[in-house]
Amino acid sequence: MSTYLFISDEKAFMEPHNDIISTAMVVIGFVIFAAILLKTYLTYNDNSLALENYRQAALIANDVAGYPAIQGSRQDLISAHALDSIAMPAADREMHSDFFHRFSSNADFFVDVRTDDGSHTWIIDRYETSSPEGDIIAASVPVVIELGNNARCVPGTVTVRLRKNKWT
Amino acid sequence: MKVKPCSQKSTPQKYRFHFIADDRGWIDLLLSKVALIFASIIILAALYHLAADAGRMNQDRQLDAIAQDFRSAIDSAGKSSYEAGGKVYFFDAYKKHGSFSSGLNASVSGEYVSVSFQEKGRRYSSVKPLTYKTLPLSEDEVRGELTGAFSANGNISQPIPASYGYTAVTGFLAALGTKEENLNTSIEVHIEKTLIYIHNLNGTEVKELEYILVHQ
Repeated sequence: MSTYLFISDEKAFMEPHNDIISTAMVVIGFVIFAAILLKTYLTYNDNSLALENYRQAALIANDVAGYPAIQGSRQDLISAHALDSIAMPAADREMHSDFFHRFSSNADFFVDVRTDDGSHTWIIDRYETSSPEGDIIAASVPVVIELGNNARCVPGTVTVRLRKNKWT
Repeated sequence: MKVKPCSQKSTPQKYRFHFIADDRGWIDLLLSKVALIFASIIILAALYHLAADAGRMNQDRQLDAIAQDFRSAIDSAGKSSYEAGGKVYFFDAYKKHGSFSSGLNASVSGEYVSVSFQEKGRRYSSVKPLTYKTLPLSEDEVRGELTGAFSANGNISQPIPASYGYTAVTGFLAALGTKEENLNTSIEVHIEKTLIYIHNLNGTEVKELEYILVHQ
């Protein structure tokens, strides 16, 4: 009954406001469209930055895995003894400084080397105390680590964790 | 329309009463049309800005890709061994197919690469930090600077004497890297790795320092 009354109502009291309502709908639609567009762009930007940083981390990880100063008895092995010298706290300060020298100070990262069974872990960081602020982007490469003098080789991973500031 | 006469009231009150009692709805119509015009102008302006911003974002994205490509070329030279030799980098690929047919500027310093483009008084730029220590100089220039400062060019045959100190040498090289070098994007850029040798404190061994050289 009430629906019928509404349809058959010819007083047209809503008539002058039709354009206001339609304009409000267009504005709301436009705001939603702009918000979706902005969100898509921000997501795309975040993803492309993450991919770019991942590439940089992967490049450093490959470089570290092939760094001659930490090589074992063979070129494809990493010496645990050399890792002991440069891992925190660094026993050999000079070797530790040489390890980071070729990298620009913009490349703020630390290296985490560990055996797959979790029995050995080495953290190689440029600074003694590092601030945990900012995002971390990591890339890993598989390696073989030579433990001790008895040439026992175990599989492991070299992980480079890049610390990213807001502006980089 | 019916307007009640109100002869007893003063003139302003009469007008006000006339305004309130007026049920023709013309002011309603006027207000709604003005609101509609304003809203249309705002929406059109917002759409125009959105389209303009999309164009600018596209330029930024292209510049970002160029800077990233140039940075990757320098970083990959840093990762490769010294024996691998240098490489030559061209900006041409972007100039032919991209929207930067002219006016693409590039510069390199010890810490970052920068690519910029100027169009209609607006400057677009993209800066990327480098992974490896870099000097915007050629091999001869570096050797010349080292000879001038330390009386040795830092080659394997002529390492820098230990008396100067390791930090003095690295500080000197870091200072060389702070100078930003503008590159001509029409010609090739040479990227190579160099080794600078320094005697250690007891003078028995030499230590090598790796640097990437970017020059034209």
